Amino acid sequence: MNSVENLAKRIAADANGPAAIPRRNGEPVFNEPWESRAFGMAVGLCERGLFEWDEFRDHLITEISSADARQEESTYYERFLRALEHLMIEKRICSDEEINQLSAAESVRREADH
Amino acid sequence: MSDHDTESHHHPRPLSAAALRAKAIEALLVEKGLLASDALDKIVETYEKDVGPLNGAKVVARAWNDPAYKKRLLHDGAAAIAELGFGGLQAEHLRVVENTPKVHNVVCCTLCSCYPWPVLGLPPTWYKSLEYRARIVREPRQVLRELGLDLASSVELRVWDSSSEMRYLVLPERPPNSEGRSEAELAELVTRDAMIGVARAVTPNR
Repeated sequence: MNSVENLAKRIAADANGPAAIPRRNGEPVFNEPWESRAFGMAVGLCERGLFEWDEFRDHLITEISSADARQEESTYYERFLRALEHLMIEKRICSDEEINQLSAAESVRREADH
Repeated sequence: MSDHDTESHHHPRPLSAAALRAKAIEALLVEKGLLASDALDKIVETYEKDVGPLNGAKVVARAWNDPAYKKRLLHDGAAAIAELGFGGLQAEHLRVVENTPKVHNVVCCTLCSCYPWPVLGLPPTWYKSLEYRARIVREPRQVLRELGLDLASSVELRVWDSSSEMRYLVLPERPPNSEGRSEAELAELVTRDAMIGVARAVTPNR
């Protein structure tokens, strides 16, 4: 195995990403549909003036560095989502309880669907 | 590795928990009238399909073909990119750094994932990884070699760390065998990785 594949594999393992480094133009950058929704929500709320992008970035840096320090196996977009949640709560856009309640309800609904 | 979990296999549970929370947040935003689902669809579609490295490739191709444009691009990246109709979030402060036979530039963001979206689209997974963020600063030559780019030791290597104040785009060297190509044909030689600085532009076979 050559060294390019080596780094690709290690990086992929590090980021729970696909098995190879995407190298061409126009490849998808989201591994799961919810990741693109989380990204879109951060951009959309910023465009609507609910926060500044730099405020979001500060939260993202905090989430990434603390997860790195804990050697947590979370993915980039899991951290991204946590940063978004914390900023939304800080800005009183919604509360932690509201998110908890709705995601629990969604979980129950999905179980029922099975 | 010493304090390993007693459960050695990992279920993808955390991911589905995140998916549930993302769904919940979206539902809350819609309910509160802050972000309609179709507006969100539009944003995602724009960033997935329309905004992408092809924009940056067009900028690079123009610079290769038009010395006056290249001069403006290196002087004020954001303004020169706006000339081609690209710009917006994450490109307000954009500096273009030029690769030459003597100097090679590579871009990273050590703190998070700052990246010039309007010209490169969204960053690839590896750009956001701890490994790249940490190692490209500590041992850039080795990381580039592992990524398949072997630089002569005489080439000066410059690593640019993006921040909220400044984003960077690498202007790769024009490859050999690319004379007489149209701008659209030149743009095909410019990959995202070449504009991050972890690869060269593609050399055509003729």
